[in-house]
Amino acid sequence: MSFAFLLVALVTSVNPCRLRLVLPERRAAVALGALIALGSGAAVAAVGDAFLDALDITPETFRLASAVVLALEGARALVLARPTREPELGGLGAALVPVAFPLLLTPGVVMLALTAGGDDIVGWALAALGVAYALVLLSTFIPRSTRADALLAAGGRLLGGAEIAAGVALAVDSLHDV
Amino acid sequence: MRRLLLYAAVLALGALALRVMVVPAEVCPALTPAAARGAIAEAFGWLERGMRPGGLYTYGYDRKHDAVSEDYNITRHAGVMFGLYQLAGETGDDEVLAAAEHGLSFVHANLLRKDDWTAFAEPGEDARLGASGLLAIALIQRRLATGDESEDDLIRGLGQFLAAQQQADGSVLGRWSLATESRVPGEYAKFGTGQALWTFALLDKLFPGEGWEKPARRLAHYVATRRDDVEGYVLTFPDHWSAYALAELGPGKLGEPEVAYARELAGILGLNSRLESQSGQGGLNRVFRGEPASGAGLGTVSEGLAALWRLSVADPRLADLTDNLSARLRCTAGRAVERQIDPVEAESAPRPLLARGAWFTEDGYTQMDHQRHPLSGLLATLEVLEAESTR
Repeated sequence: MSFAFLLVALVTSVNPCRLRLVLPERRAAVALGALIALGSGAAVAAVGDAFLDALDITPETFRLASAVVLALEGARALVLARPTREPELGGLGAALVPVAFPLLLTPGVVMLALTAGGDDIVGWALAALGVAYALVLLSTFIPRSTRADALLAAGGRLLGGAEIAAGVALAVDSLHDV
Repeated sequence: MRRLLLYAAVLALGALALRVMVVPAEVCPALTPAAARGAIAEAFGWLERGMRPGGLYTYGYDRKHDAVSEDYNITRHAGVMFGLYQLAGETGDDEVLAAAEHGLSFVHANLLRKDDWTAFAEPGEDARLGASGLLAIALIQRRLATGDESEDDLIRGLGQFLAAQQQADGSVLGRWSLATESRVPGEYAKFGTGQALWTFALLDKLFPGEGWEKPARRLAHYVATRRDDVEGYVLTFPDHWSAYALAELGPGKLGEPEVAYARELAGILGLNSRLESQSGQGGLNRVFRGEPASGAGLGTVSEGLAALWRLSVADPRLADLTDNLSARLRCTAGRAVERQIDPVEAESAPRPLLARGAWFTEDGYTQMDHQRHPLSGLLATLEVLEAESTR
């Protein structure tokens, strides 16, 4: 798995366009949530190898599971471009719920972090995840309006399609790997 | 909070579904050289006990109905001889050699001789590529094991038959018709192509300068670049014979297309190994992964992986595959050893001596290639284990 692929897969899984439609308007909570999610992602990636060992799964096979998750997640983004708003904890607690979980720590992010751990490319995964979350932060500077929301929804759909393609590419990779 | 819990529950269920349907555990029993040698000896015992008059071997046995198969297949006959000569070459054991030589009388009674070539075919039957290719391979193993040159003319004649089946694009046709006295256009042999390729490669090594390199290179290029499309395989065909051939040709005779093909072949054999290691004889694994591979399936994957492991060690362009090839090989070979019927298990069969040392399918059937392929696969695995212990 190359860094470029990880970047595309993680950005499409996080889907900043789609997320912007439901992120809390408090930027500090989003920033803190991104840090929490990045730390959690790092922890997941760090135990990826041990996790796959415990499950008796080779990294090559686990890639197939990640591919399935990416494809399903992408399909959801494609079909449901406007997600429903999640309940929020009060104050900075919103950084934890809903920003870190469930918005930023998507199933795809968790699967890709585990995959990267199994492939010993934790550093790449963290760098790519950092870029993805930075894009989410940047998206909070987009002012909400009817027109902006429509464009974000379209962008979310586009990223959903790209996530499906990333899933297919990962599945093919898994089928070709020894 | 309720919504969050619902979301977490959906994720947990999704993870469970993934575990059961997509990534069940890959079960790889530990493999020791002693266990592999024991399994080889038991498989040999099954083949040796099956020696029948006329140079034949027992073809198959249905344990459920206690019925010995009356079928026969000359390609598999040649395969048994190949495995036995391989084992004789490795062990120097006269008993093994005698069991291999037993098959020669059947061979000599079933040759179709033409002016330019000789094929291995039963009287009145068309000549098929695979039977002649595999017989040539077996006889070359015999030559290597014994140094006896008495079958050299036959080896060359079989090679000439394969060469006569080769087309301008390098491909080889699968059948020669007795009725029309000509090649059958558009008909290819599933395994015969790889067997022909390995035969050419072996002939080039055994008889250098006799012109075998050219058909070998042409066929290797065809297999690497066009075979899957022409012969109708969606994914790379998991052809262990081609793996043997690539390892035999070695880095010096493989161009970039052939190396790329070796990589693809390693991938598909690795995938087969991983999928097989997830299969089980019951429960959900049986539902989602189907029937575990037969002895022949386990053996062919092992043979292919071991051959590509040898190539990956010799060719730096494939060196990144060595560790994974070794891991998959150990897993598949370990599963083969585990699934062989041991003497105690055999006692419960109607005829214990037809069950002992065999690999049965789920419906209780075994045939000669279900023993022959694991024998060759485990022999090749032993070679890898020994090489790794000194690396």
